[in-house]
Amino acid sequence: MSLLLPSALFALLALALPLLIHLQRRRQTPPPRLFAALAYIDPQARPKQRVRLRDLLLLLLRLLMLTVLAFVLAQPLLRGRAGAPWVLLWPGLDPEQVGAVDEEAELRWLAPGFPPVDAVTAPASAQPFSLLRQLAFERPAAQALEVRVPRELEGWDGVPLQLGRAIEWTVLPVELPVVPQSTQGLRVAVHVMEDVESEQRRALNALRAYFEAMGENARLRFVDAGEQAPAEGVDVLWVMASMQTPAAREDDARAQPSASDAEPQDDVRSDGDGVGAEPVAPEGAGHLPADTSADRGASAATVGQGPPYAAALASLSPAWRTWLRDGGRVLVSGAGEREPHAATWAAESAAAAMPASQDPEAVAPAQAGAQGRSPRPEELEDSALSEATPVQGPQAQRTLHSGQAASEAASLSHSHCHRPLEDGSPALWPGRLDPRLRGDDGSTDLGDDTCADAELDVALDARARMLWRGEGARLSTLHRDGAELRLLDCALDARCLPELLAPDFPRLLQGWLAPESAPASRIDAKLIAPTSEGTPPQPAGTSLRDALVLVLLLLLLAERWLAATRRPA
Amino acid sequence: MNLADSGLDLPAELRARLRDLRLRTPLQAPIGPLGRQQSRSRGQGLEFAQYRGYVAGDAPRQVDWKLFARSDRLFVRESERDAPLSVYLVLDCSPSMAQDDLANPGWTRLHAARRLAACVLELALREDELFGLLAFEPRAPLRAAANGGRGQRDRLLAALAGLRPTQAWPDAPALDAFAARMPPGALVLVLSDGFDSAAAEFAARLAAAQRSVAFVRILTAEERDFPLSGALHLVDPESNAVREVDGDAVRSGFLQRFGAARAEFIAGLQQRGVACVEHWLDQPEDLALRALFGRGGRIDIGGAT
Repeated sequence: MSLLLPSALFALLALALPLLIHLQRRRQTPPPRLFAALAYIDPQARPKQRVRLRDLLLLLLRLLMLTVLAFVLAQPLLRGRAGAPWVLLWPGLDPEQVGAVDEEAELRWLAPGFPPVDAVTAPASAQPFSLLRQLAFERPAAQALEVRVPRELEGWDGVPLQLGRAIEWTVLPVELPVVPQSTQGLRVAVHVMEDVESEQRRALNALRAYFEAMGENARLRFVDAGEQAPAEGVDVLWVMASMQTPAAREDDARAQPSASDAEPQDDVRSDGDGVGAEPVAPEGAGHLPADTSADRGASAATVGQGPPYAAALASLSPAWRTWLRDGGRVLVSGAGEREPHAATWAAESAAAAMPASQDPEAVAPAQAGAQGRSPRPEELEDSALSEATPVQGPQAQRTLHSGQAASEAASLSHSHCHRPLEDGSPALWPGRLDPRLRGDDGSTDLGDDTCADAELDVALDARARMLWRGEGARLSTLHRDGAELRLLDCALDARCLPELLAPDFPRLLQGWLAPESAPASRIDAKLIAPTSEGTPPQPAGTSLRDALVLVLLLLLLAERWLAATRRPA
Repeated sequence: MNLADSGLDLPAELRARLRDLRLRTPLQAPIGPLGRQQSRSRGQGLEFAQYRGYVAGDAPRQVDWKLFARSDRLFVRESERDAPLSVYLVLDCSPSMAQDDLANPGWTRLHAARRLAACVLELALREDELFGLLAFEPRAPLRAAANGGRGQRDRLLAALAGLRPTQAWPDAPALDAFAARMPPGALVLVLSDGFDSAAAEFAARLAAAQRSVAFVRILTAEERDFPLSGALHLVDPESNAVREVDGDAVRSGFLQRFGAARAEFIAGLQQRGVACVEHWLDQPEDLALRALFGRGGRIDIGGAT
């Protein structure tokens, strides 16, 4: 038996109370007695102070009651038998491979509820390390536990296994079987926008033919995304947007090649137009950080129509948008800029430049300047490279950014707050609107909620995450309105996507379209053998509280009965 | 007050033991001249006393005809006449008479004194003696002149039943006044515990005044054995003094002191011409009476103990 609260035994000090009361009562004078021969009693005699316990049974009952009460407060636990030792199997192990087990030992899974191996064949492997800690804490300390693990373990959370008790850690020379990939191919619905170039269509056809040639084993199956609701079984949607003509991009880049070098503190317009350097080899540009300040500034300068994927998504039919909002996954190729980063920065600057954004006069020129432009990934890389040149100092960049902040924030907030009303599309798909209409078409009707939604969208864009980065293109993903967006900032064009020409591009595309799977990290089981440090297991056993309370009541009854029936002294 | 509660009803066993007991004047060490303590009228009787000359009116039966034949003169044979004995019961009603025994609670010294008095009344009635009572009640001293007959006995029993142990002894002049009413030669039986010195003094003065006095000292069994133990809270009923003692510690000393005091008490009374016996509350009442009026007529001091 053990006590959960041994300090409650200090209540045993209360045992002195009935004793003191008893002795005090005994000290009372006996009843007077007539005695005429009192004069013959020794005049020197004194009454003897002798401790005499009367009603011993009653006193003992009362003392016992207090003792039991103290033990009730101390919450005694009756330790049962430790039980048979447990041998726990790591989920995924084959019970045939775990070797010999003692006769009395119970073979159980390291799974929720610790089911016996006989009862459950293959339990779900939910956080076995957490379960291991739970097991070590919950099982009685006297019970022998053995965990049999494969040679390498998955899902370790990085925290050392300090279980507070001795656990036998048996590493079996067994590898966990690799979870087989789903053999079912992905069904890809392809939506080709109207202005997609023939190069992209050819590439798409080639891919389609490639996978169709594989027959039943094809990993990807292409279907056309029609206007109607998507058919059952479509796993992912591929929106193919048009790519920019290289000529236009080069013209923009070369228009003012020296302006950005010579006058980095130029006004907004010239900076936005001129922050482009000479075309540089893509392999050099692809390795620059995506969120450098210059990168932001360049991309922000080209923004003027909301997120660049907005146009692609806006071209979808309402049925497909609903499908997306219900958790669909879409790959937008040719999504232009690394928009999420720019949008993040734009949100910050919009908050700083709020007065400017409130002014329609200030908005109009910035909007006008930005409208003529389209997202071009190459320009991003170029501007990023130009940031790396020693000519531009940090001070220059800062000025450039602050100068662009007003126009950027104005255009972005404007476009977000004035989405098209006619098709009832949600805030996810902001459309373009003539800024001059803004003053009199009742933008206030839309209210601040719309603008708040827009800013929320922008903030959500910050959660974009890069999935893949190639030589000249990158794939980022973000979740918005329940949809998983994968944005490839390059069309199916070998100029920005040299991987298109590689033989394993179908596999690459397959990875882009496939659902994300957590990277499997394995660790040698011997390295994380549990130690006996840490919190010891909880005291296990049967609580004696109820039994003691019952005993207490019985004692109380007996005491009352005895006190009521005893003869008065 | 019925007789059972006051101890005045005599159990059949006690009556049977009283059968062979006779009231006699206790003889003890004479105080005055020999033969002076008895007052007897001469007349008809069994024991010859003297001859006297015939006078007219004497019954012819009383003439000693054999002597007439020898001497030719008429003599009347006189014998001792058995005069009726006046028995006076003097009961102590002091508060100490309320003491009883722990072993027999409720049977106080006064109960024992009543029963002893009832026994003496039975004996006196049986022997056609005269009997009277002297007791001291809170209102007025109870005094009943010696008289005979069942009616007197019943009156005395009723008076005894009404006694309460509350009143101390009166002072010496009052006692002397009472003593003067008792005729010389009367048998006075003092039933007391002797803790009030007035009782012993009264008995001694009576004895000095030519009365036959017997003192029955009524004591409790606790005063003989002291069986009390443990913490005791003792109260002296006479002086209301209080002592808290341990019974076991004081037992031997008490028994020694009180035994010596008892012997001294008896010896002092006998020296003054008072026959004294002790009666214990747990004893049959006839033992003390037998010691006083026993067949041999001798008082065996201490024999009743």
